[in-house]
Amino acid sequence: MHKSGIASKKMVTSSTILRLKDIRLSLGRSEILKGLSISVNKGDAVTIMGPNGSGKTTLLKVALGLLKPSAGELYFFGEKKNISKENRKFLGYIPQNLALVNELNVFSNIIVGAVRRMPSWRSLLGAYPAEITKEAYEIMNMLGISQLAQVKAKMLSGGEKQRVAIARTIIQKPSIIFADEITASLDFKTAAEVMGILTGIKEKTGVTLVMTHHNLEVAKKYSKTIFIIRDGKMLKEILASDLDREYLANLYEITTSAT
Amino acid sequence: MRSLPPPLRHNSIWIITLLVIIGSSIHLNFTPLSIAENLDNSLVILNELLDIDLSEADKVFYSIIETLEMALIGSSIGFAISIPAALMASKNIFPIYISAIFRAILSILWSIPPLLWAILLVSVAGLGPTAGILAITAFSIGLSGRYLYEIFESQNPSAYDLVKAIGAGRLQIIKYVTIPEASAYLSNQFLFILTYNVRESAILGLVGAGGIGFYLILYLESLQYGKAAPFIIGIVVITLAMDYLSTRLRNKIVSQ
Repeated sequence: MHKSGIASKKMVTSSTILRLKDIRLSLGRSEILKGLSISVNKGDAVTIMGPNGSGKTTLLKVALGLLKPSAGELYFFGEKKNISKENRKFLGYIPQNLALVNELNVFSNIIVGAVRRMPSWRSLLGAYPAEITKEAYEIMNMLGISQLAQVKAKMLSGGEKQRVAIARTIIQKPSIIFADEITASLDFKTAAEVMGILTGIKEKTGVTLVMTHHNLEVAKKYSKTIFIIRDGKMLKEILASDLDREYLANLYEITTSAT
Repeated sequence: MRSLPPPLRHNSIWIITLLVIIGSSIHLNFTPLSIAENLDNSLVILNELLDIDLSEADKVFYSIIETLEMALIGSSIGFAISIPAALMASKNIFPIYISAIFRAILSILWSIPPLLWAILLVSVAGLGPTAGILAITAFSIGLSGRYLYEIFESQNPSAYDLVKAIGAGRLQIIKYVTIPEASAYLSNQFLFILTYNVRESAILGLVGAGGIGFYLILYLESLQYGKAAPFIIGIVVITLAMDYLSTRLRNKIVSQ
């Protein structure tokens, strides 16, 4: 087993963009998160790994303010914050099932990401500011989906849907993007394309990426740090380059031959 | 129950149902013989009905038009009101103290049948189609609203989570998720209540609330069965025609 890795209780520095401290959360009778702490530096790409049911998605939802923890504290940019409607716009989210609205066309699905960037009446009447419409088309061009602008989301392929979900997050101009298992349902080639897009955006805008992945190779290739959680607790924070299959298997308490 | 032999035990629900039906029939003095006893009378009425008198045929046409108009106006207004009412009744959009109030209102509107609404409204709005339209409207709000909030509440919660995470307000959630996701159901639901209401409108005239039922009760009560017959045929025709048309339209919408 490797000994290397980052000390799990590292110093909180001024570059820390997100810090969750001793987060506990129960759903019904079972405690999903059991005092979990995590801290992410600005501009980093990190992956949270763990077996099914370990609390990865729940952790993302707490960070997004969609689930209220029973105990623990959330810090953004070093400040303790409660997530509210007003300060949500810096948090981007790509959920595992993408949550596209099937009956809306691609353009409308993307423009949803910009609702906090314009007055409410404009979004409600569909009178979008010209610069936001222009931006939406630029993003669609960049992702190669502009020809699909008027196509309903339900008609799209898996890879196209991923691009729409990414576009919806880009137009939001977030400081952090939470991406939950976004390559899980894709073939190898499409997964590489989607991760390439996301990495490109990170390099261009300096956005912080907090991802969950099941695939070790994907996690290693696209993130700097990997957090391994299990049963609602942080097991290990490790540099991606130091993580290998054997190490992961040991952490998951499964034999290497079974992986 | 445990001491019963297995065949009785396994079929106990059917046996109990059968006993309840027999008990109810005895309670109401209902026997198939009661029909047979009045068979002569029934045959006389049937004979008179079959002696169709077409002297009032123009009234059949105009009262069918009036019935369809009542159903169309009442269904449209009722349906239009039922959408915001159903949104307010949806627990995934509004807090429970608001949704509970709207659920109660919708249930009350729905629990009163259109004919009873018509009786109540004739005393307020007077005789004629206005009372009928209002009756159809009130019932449609309840009928459609109850169905729609169930549709809204069964929508994909992750789309709601996502737009909430972006910071969208309630109206934006309704615009970008609730309504588009329900769009296919909305047109179907309107066709359904319209079809349902054509049949209901046909009998509202019995209490003076307009439509074809007005002439039906007029001639039935004055024992002019021959004149009543074309109106009965009219009701059958418009009900079947609406059913056929709405099924065709719904299939067309589904296949789109």
